[in-house]
Amino acid sequence: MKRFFGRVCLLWVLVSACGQAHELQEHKLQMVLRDDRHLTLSLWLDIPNAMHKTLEPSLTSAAFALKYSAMPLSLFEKAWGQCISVWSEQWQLKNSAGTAISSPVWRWPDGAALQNQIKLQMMANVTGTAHAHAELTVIAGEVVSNSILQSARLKMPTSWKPLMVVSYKPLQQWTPSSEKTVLLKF
Amino acid sequence: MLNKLQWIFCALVVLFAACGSGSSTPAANLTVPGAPLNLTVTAGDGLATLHFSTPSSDGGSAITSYTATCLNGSAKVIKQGTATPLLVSALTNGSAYSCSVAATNAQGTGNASSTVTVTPVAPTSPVGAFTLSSQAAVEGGTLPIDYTCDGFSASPALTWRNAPLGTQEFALVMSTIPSPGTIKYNWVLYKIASSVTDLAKDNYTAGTAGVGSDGPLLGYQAPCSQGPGAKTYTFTVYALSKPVALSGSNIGGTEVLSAISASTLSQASLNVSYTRTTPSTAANNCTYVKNSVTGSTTGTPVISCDASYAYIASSALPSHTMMSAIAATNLQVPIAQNFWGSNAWRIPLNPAIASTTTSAVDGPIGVAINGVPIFNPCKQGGCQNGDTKALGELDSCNGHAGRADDYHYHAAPSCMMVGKPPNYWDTHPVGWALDGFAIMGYNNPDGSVATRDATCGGNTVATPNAPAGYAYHVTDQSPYVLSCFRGSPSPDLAGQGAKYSPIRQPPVTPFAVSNMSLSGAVDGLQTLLFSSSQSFTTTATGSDSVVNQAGSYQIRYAPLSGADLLASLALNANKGKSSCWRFEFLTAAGATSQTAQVYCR
Repeated sequence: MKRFFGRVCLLWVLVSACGQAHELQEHKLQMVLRDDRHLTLSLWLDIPNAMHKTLEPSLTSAAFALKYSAMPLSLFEKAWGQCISVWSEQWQLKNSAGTAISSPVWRWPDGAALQNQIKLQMMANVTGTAHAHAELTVIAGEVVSNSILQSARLKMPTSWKPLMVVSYKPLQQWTPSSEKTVLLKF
Repeated sequence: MLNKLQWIFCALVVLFAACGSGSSTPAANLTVPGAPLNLTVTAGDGLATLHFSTPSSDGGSAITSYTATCLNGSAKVIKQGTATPLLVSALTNGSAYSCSVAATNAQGTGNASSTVTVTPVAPTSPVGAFTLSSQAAVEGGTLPIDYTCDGFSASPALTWRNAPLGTQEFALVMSTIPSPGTIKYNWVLYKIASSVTDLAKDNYTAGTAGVGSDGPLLGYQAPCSQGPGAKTYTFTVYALSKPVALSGSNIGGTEVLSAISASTLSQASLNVSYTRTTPSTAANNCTYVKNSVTGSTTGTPVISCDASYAYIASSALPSHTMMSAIAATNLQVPIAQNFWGSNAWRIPLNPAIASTTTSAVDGPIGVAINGVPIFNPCKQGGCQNGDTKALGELDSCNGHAGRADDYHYHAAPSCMMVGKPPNYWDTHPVGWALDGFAIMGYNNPDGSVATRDATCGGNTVATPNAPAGYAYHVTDQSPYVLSCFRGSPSPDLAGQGAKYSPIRQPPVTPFAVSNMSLSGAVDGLQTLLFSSSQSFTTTATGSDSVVNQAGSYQIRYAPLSGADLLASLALNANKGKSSCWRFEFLTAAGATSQTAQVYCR
């Protein structure tokens, strides 16, 4: 019994300690309007956590980590594909006229890399009490709108929340070689 | 006043009407107000305050203003207002003034009140004398070692009371007379707000720090006499009648005392003495940390110490260019961090080589002497995610902003180091590792390229200006600074996440083992078995359904030992690690679902 609870404690770390990390541990979406129509996206996401919430929310996160660590890669890739599909359908970005803007082209990690990430997290936690990261992966994405974007309304996958959304339009201007100075306005 | 035409008109109609003052409608007699009543005058510092009651008559027209007049011979000072009291300023202290007040309405100004004589007075201490005291030492007492270079060079807490009226600002000077005819300034602090009456130990918030005689370090320069015997140190606080007009750099005690000589209302002093003793190891190492920050030209953190730690306090924003020349995507803008007070970085002051090394795979591993944290080379989540420098994620100074928009280095802080000749870093720390050992430049003190041991990336060559026993050296090859800690790390290594603000932690799902069985050892393997025969269905959007992967799986693992362990630890990826396990991934029936894997930590 004592050993059983010892294991439970070790596994508990899988969940409870993953909040510690050296940098901001919050899902974050950064949207930069590059020009009138082109958005560059950077998404910081704890993918295993979001995947868990999307695919099998009734499991504990420890059980999810064990199951998805141990399953064959072919099954994992299928599950990962399903997850991406759900997220794609839950993502909605509309311009100020209410017209949907085309879906982003995301560069998601491949299934093998993601399963390895879950495995490492799981192995770190079952073999020690030191904390392991809730690893945030940076996913790049691009969106090009058919119309000029002045404002937009975003609906994101529920499993990404809470999500800090940072959006801005950088000020940039070409400086021809004939110009000695450039006027910057902030 | 009725003019001539009005009088003629009145004469013509005298039988029928009363004559007014120009109005065709008869009205009450309008006139100027009466004199204000009950005048009392209170003397102040160059001023008189006149209290009075409204006149018994307003002359039939509302009073619009009052005029106070104070006369001293031919000198007249006038002040206008709309109500009592009126404050007449710019009077000469010690001169008697005859003051009165008169009311004005639309008809003009009435008679002045009775006159009251008042003599403005220079400010005096409100209650008792202006005093200066300290929790650290009494007048004539001994300054504790903590406040000297033999201790932790902490500046003492000070308290002053009963500052004179009219104090607009304070200045503080700590001085000593090392030999007759000379004076040395240990501490120069000016532009201290008049609301300040206490300085905390190791104050770094109140006032503007000047340069002491041991410059160029701003702030407290702890007693560190080179001569024998007891030395007397005098703290003097000055109450000033106006803000000191000083700006620029290199402002020392002479400049401050000259600038405040004409505006000093009062001063209070505290004399203490100190005789040098042999410093402790911790005190010596504290001095190394304090001195090291003088080598930074890109930001100077504030250092304080106690018996266990040097505290490096900063906002972690260097003055050099940031985020330039990043090849990978990083659109963030670094912002100031709050590594101040209790959140300052703790550097152990008694570093010693520990029996086992500590992994340095997570986040910060030390702090550069400009107050900017230094991280391990790896991306968030671990080195399996890549090397930040190799991936082009670092700027031209080997730093970048993290997700807390915190600027930090992942390799040698190159832009900080260019502020000094290259060989400076052979003998002066670049930064401090979280285990208390110094992070030195590329070379040994003799200029030879430092040999970095295979264990953690340092060596035991004796290094000046740094603790004895061990020192890390930066290099241009990964891991750039250190790969593990030879000493026992500060609690800040484990508590690193909480140091960043705003602190946002991901949601944590409560752990339950209802659908997990944990067996004991089977064939020497711990077994974690997860069985799931269910097919869960989630409806994410109402139209999308996801059929989950039903199946039963188990994971088995066992620690490695002997030759297997040594072979695993010999791999480059496992440097700095001490234990390894072999993991097997199986179906519930025992069939292999994935290739077995060795994991070390």
